Amino acid sequence: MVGLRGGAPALALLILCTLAAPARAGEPDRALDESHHFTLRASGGGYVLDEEVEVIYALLTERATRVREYSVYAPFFAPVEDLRASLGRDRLRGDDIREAVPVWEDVFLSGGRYHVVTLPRAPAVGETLTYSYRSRYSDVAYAPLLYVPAGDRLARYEVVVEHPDDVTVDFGFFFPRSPVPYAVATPARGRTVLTFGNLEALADLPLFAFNGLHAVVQLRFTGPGGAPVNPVTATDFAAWYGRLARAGAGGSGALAALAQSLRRETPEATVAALHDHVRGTIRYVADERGEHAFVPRAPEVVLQRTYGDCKDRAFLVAALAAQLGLRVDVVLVSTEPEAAFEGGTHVGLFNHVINAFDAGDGRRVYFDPTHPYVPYGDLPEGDVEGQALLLGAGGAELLRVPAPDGPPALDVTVRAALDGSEGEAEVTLRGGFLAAYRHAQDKGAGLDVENVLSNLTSGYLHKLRLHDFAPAADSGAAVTFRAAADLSEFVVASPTRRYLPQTPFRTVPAEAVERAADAFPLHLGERPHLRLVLDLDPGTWEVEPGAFGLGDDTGPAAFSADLALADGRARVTYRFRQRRKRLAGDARDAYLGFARGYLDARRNMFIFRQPAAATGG
Amino acid sequence: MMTHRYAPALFFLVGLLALGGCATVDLTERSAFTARPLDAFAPVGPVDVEAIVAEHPGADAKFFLYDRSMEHLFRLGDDGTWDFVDDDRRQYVVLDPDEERWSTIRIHVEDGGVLEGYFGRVTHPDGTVHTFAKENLVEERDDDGAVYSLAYPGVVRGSVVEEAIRTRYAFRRNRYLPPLAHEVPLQFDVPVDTLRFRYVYPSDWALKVKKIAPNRVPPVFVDRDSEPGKTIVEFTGLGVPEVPDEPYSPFFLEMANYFEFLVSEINIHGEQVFEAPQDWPAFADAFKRYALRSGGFFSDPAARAAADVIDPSDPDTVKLAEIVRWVQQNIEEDGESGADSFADVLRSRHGNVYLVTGLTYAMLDRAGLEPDYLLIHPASEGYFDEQYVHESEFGVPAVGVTVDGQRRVVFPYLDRLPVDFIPEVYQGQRALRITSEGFGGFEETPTQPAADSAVDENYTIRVGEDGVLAVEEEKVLRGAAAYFVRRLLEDQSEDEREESLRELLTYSEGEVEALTYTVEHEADYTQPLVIRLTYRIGNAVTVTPEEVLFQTGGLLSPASLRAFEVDATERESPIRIYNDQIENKRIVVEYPAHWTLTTPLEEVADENRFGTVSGRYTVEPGRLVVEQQVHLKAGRAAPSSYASLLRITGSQSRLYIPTLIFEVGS
Repeated sequence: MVGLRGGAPALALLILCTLAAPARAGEPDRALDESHHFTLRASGGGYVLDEEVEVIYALLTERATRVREYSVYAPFFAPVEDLRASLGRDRLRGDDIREAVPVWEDVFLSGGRYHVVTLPRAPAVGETLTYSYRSRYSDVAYAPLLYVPAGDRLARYEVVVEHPDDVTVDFGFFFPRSPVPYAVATPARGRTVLTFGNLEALADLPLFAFNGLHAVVQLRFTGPGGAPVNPVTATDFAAWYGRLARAGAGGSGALAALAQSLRRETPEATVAALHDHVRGTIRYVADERGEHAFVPRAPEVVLQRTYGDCKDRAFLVAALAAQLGLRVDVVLVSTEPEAAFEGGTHVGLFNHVINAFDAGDGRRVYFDPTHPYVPYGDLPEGDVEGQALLLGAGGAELLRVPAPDGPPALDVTVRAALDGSEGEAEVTLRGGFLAAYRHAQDKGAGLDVENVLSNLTSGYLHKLRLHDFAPAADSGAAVTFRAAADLSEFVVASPTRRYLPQTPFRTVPAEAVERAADAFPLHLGERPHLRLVLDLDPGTWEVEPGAFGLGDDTGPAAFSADLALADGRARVTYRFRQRRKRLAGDARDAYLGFARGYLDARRNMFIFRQPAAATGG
Repeated sequence: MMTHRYAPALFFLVGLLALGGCATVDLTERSAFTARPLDAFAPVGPVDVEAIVAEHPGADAKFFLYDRSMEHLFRLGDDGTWDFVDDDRRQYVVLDPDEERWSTIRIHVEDGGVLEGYFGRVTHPDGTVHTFAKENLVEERDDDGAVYSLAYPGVVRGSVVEEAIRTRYAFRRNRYLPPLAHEVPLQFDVPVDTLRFRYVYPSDWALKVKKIAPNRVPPVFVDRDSEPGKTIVEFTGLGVPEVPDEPYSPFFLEMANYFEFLVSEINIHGEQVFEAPQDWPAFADAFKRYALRSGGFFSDPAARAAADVIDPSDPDTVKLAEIVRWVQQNIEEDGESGADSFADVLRSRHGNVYLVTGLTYAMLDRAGLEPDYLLIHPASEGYFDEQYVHESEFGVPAVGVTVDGQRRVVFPYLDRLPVDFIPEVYQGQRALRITSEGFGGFEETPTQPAADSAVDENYTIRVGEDGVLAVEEEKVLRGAAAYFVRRLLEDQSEDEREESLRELLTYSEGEVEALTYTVEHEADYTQPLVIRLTYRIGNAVTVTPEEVLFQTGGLLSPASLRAFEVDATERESPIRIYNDQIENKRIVVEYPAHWTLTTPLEEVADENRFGTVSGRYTVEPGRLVVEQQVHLKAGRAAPSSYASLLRITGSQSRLYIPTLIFEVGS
């Protein structure tokens, strides 16, 4: 109640959670005028970068006036100072502007801070909210990527850089949809200005990774003689990052002893053992204070603590391997689609670190020692196709993390009688399915694991329900179960026929076809690879062999369904394989054609008929 | 940390009495429980992790010891100090080291508090031991206080963690008053071998304890002898089981053990300086002074506001609706609002739920409707103990008005809640009535027929010769469903609205085309919210020369279908269903007259103590009518009845029809 319970009853709190920020579509709710004023100064043989930001929102609709909180995030390398805000003519004071330690789901300790501006009163339509602040960057290498927002009508987005005369300022651009107009001017020596203006808000698109953005801009400063002021190219970036990472590196007897204990018969078996050891014994706790937001802790420290984040683990694997004379590289990865700049990269583009090992036979094996349930040689789906920077012996390499090749992640064989409602299934899980099972096995109990397996499989298999899972084999890279298969909905029975669907997988998102009207990249969340085999006793039913297929091995996705009769049994084999999930250009078009065909084929059926004698036909 | 409504009075009283004098006992001297060394833990014997896991499957940890002591160090009458110390100790084995909660520590100390000390010790299965002190904690400060954090190194399954945390908050005149009411959990989501809780306070204070069930308070031992001048109330629990998390269970405070109590009297040198309300009339008087304070010196702002909103000639039902709607739409609920009277609320258009309710009460009063201010005890607060006079017993404010002989309960801080609808969780609950005279007794909030919040769904599905489906859906939402959907839609753009309505589509298996929709009575929330959707589905029907298959894709399944395996024999919690729930569905499938439906449709009619489930089918030439109803009835039952409940809610619904098959005639 008053004070003690601190506010509204539970129902009211629940309701408040449903309130949304202004939308990004239709009539704009706000007009935004945003400016970033950078000052780059030479200092002590290097450079210092300061920034002043001013954000002005004109609140155009009632809906916009209902947003009462605005926040500014200050990373450790650019603390926010002198944050001021005003609503109309009213300057905000005291508790209207507060600083808070952020709480992240996967970061235990963070060096950043949130600054929250709370409007003390409901603004009126037409009023203006203004806030401004200053930041000094601890290293010019952290010069930010500037995200030009598309959620509001953009009246103006201005970037001003004051810089020494002998420094050249250039901009890298990433336009997620189509290029938008901008102007670059040099109104005076040592002053470069980039301006976007009068851009309308953009409606969100399904299966698109860059909703809410017109552009991303990278600041590129070049000093006398073409020397980079901030690292932009992969080589410069890797050199800068390598210096930071090496600063905390070292070696110790404990590291060497552990490495020796994990030595196996072959280099690759040894690397796999290192991976298994780290993923199994180093628990995930992210202490990202200060530069440790980007820089790993020394391997000895991680080993001693037995906890760390992704970069701590990946560098630990590399350090352990080095103790044995093996080279394991570290790979910075983006697990979410990020801006891509021609010839450039940026520390803000990566959010994860994994490893790569050249196995010596032309294979480069990527592995992720952070994921506790994904074995060596496989990768969590989030890592695949991510923009990546491999820090190798031969230099830095920008790449996309390739998908590991392998058998289907969900492989189901069902033996049943066509007229029976239940069958016996053998279910093999690999990849993400296996990881989900291992997680459930580790965390859950009893029916929890059964429910996870049942829901996992029914999430992909249309109308085929598997239950009563019993483990049958576990090779580490795959686990096989025996299960009961409920075919009562899968097999459609009429008095004179039996039907089996030709497209039994739930693997194509229906909203994909909504994207036919545009030409922008398509970002699918995963790359399903499934096989379902029905080994059926047809009884007296006559089989009509048939086949259906879409796509091929060269395209982004392929599907086939095949019904054949052999040794008195009807064998139906369904295969679905999607090779890529981030699609643009021809691959995107090919996938959309595939998706349309697959969704249309939902009504296609394999048919079993009653014998002619029985039907009189 | 805490402020409350009586704080100003208490600040004032202790201010008057903090005028010297000598205490016979130095109460700044701590009891053994808040003075003992932080590392004073009894050794843990050998830990059989596998046995613990077998006994408590799914548990992330197990407490060997959970030991908490709170103590008031009270010298306001002497040197003007009053400290509140919280000493919290735990000893547990980690069963899942990946669960950050058990392998790290995070201590929140609110503004004005001090972390006096911390001790941590982790003993690993291999015998290695790490100890930690306050200096090892990472301190992060912001405007709300400080957070101290540490991730324990080397934690593995079987590591034993011992930690002791001691915080102290000091009385600050007009700024901070130590807490005088507590709700202390005595049961958790993990098991505890030994649980101890102590409350240490000056012996001339008085305490009141809340019953947590009829005639049941946690068994405590009261010790007035061990510490001179102090009273120690101690609870000890042995072998405390974890509280399971299961569907259709009572609220946590209805199931679990907890200790709720308050300081009812404070004396300084024999003179009473504070007395919590001793009975509900006293409580109601204090509350009235807080929540029904006008704030206008020479005018009546509530009367002015009421006059602006209503027409005096309108009937009372209209006046009620107009005033509640005006408040809902013009006054924003804000728990942090600085407003402390109606005048403030009206001026700033913000107020906490109590003042917004008070303003509504006053406006209705000025309009001549004779309202009552109600404070409702929701079931989530556990048992209602009439002898335990404290605001925590009545957490939800509302206004009660009797209009045309019918009792109405309105919630003016819940924007767009229909004036004639009581959220289910607040129906049939005990409420305290406060009138302009003060305490007005207790009443039970009305229960409303389940039909008032029923969801009706009507579909017409036309199957063309070509297999294309034309679907018309009508959803009639009432009560909470209507309220939530209105709130969902209110701030949405057209694109977002379409996206939201797509989520409401019954057809769940693929692409719909040519979607159109209308929303009726969106602003008139005295009416049911009606959503009509039309769309086409091109890929749900397979047409062969002989037969037609219609894969219904959710169109012929009840929305309450549950997809989890449930073992009724493993049920631990009692069953509690708080309100009747009704879902009606009527589906008309129209198809070419020369098609004959061959799918056998088995009527379903089942009834037990938990409700009814029914499905009826009428087949006519070219037309199938499906009528389904699930009616879940409010009630309580033992865990052993869970199988009966599943017959109504279903783990796989018997109303589901996955495919309709038609024979094609000539």
